[in-house]
Parts: sequence; structure tokens; C-alpha cells
Amino acid sequence: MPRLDGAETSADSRAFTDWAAVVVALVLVALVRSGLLGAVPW
Amino acid sequence: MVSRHEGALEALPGAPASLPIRAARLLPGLALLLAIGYPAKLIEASLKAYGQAHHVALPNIEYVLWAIALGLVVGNALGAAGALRIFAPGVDTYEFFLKVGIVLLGSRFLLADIAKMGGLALALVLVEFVIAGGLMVALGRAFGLGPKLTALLAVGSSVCGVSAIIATQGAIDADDEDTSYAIGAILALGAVGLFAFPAIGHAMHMSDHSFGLWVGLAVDNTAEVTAAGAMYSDEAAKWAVLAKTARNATIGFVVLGVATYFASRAGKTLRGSRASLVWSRFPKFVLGFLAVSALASAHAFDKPQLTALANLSRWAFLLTFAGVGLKTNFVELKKQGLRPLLVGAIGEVIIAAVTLGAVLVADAVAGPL
Repeated sequence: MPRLDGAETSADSRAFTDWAAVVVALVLVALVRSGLLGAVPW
Repeated sequence: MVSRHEGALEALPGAPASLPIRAARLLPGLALLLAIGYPAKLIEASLKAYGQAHHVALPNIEYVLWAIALGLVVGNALGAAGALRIFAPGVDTYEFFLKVGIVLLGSRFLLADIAKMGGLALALVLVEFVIAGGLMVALGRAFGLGPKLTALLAVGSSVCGVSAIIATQGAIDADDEDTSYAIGAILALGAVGLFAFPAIGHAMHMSDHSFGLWVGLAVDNTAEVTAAGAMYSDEAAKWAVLAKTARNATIGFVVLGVATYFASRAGKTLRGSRASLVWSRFPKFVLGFLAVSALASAHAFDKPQLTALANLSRWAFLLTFAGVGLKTNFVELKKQGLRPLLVGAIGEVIIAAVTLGAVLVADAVAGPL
């Protein structure tokens, strides 16, 4: 079963992490672009 | 992953847990990543503020180094006390945060930059493949390693560390033991490279672009590449990630080549389509990186938004660096087979020297990178 909790011991689990990261990053991009997520401090 | 708290990575016993329980198991490790990463950032800021307030010239030690150092101390202490198990699922998400950070980093590149630098990186990667592949095969034979272990070390050192080894393992039916040795050797060498590369770069007064490109080509794991680049400078990390992403994008083709070689060696033919093999091994986060870069190229973001995305990327990398430290276990690293480690070490030193030469030549020929 693909696991988000890393331990990427197979190509399948690695691909799952890849797609999950892409989705999460694109959601963050959309939030920033729409102004829902404003200034992010560092 | 043998050398990174192997025992701790095993799933907890019992039947497969439900989604809420699996999500809950991530929480302790996620909290630990934050508990290590955030103080690292505070230490860097505090030292800087102290130096400025007291007019003392303190060395500027980046949060990256603090996060890794704190992670090493805490991870090895928890590992020795047998207490890491509870944190393991959450700590393992550092690969996920690394990929989120890379996709967001796409906002700092225009597609034209990627085509230019990615093309240069790919050309250098081709040179590296030939050298690393030939070198590892020769060293593997000289040290009496099996052909599959040698192949795993070759793809690990020339392409993408652990990802490439895992991607290749299934395609050539390599033993778990060979895979563990290869991963252990690559991780051990990555841990050394993490500190050695920035030191060499500073000693040679390399530019951010040249150093980033060199690290992206010579260091094997994406997390270590990002960390070594960030230890040098933000700008170096950016170019290191781009060079490494170009390298990562070739995984599928390398796996196809190695699998075809071992199949023909055994008098067999590959099952299934070659295109689907390449696609199944292709790192999908590269597509996200390109998509965000395309948005930036189309001027989809204003300046404050670009700053926000860059900062989100930094937060993701902060958790990654804490995870790199937490997962590096010196006791386990010592247990790795000596011969694979020696082959890897000799190969890596030569590859680092060759890629350094290639980057400096490219710098001289193509102008300052």
C-alpha cells in the first residue's frame, strides 16, 4: 500500500509521495495566488 | 533503508491500520521535525543578532547546519535509547516535504533558465553517466562485487542516490542485501559530502552558480544536494536543485538501460512496454516543478506572492533538513559492508573531481554561470 509516511521502499510508494507533494504544493500555490494565504514569514 | 534507523522504519505490528490511525502516527514525528527545525532557525537568527548587537564577528552558520546537527544528536540519542520508533512514521515524511519544497522552488525559475541550465546540466550528466558507470563497473570487478550490486552502486552514484537504486532494484531483481549495501554506501558518502562539498567550495571561492551546479551533479541524494547547496547560499541551493532535478529526470531511461542489459545477459527479453517502465520510474514531482515554473514564466505571481512561495519552500526544506539529521545513524553506517563503501568512496571522489573539472570548464567556455 502506498505510504505518505515515507519509508519509500518501492517505486510505487515513491510515486505516491511524488504525486502527493505535487498536489499539496499546487494547493499552496493556488492559495498564495488567490490571496487566501498572504505574506508567509520566514 | 539500512543506514537510517532500519529497525525504526518497520511498520508497527498488527493488521493494516485505518487512515485516522495512520495519520495519528505521523504526529509525533512531525512535531519532532518542527521541534528540531524551528530552533535551528532561531539559533541562526540569535547568533546573527548577538554578533550585530555586540559587534562580534561570529561565523554565519546557516540554519541548515543547525537543523542537521540537532537532528543528528537527537536522532542518534533516541535511536540509542530505542525511542525512535514512535517518531519514525512522521520523520519519514521529510522526503515528502523535500518534494513539496522543490515544486514550490519552481516559482524562482523561468522556463528559459531551466532550458539553459537544465540543458547544460543534462550534458554534464551524460558525461557523468559514462564516467561513473565505467568507473563503478571497473571498481566493482577489482573489489570482487557482484554485477547487480555494482550496477546499483553505479546508478546510485551517477543518477540519483537512493531513488535510482530503489527504481533499479525491482527492474533487475536485485537481492535485498545488495540493495541495502548500495543504499548504505550512498547514504554514508552523502553524509560526508554534505560537509565536505561546502568546505571545498569556500576554499576554492566558487560562485553560487558553479557550486550549485557541481553539488547538483556530484552529490547523490536530493535531500543532501539541497542541504549542501543551502549551506553555501540560497542561490547555490536553487541551482543545485535545478541540476539535480535534471539528473532525477533521467532515472527512467537509466533503469530501462540497466534492465535491458541484465535481461539480455540472462538471455531474456523485457516484459511489458519500455515506455511504461520509463514512465513508472519517472519522478513525478519534476512535473510539478515545471508547472510552477511555467506559471512564474507567465508572470502569474507578483513580487509578494513570489516571496511567499519562496518562504513556503524554505519551511518545507527546514523540515527536510531536520529529517536528514534525524535519520542518519552513525552506528548503522558503521555496520555497512566495507567493500561496497570503499568502491563507492573511491568512485565518488573521482566523480566529484571530474564533475568539478567539467563545471569549471563549462564556466570558462560558456562564461560565468
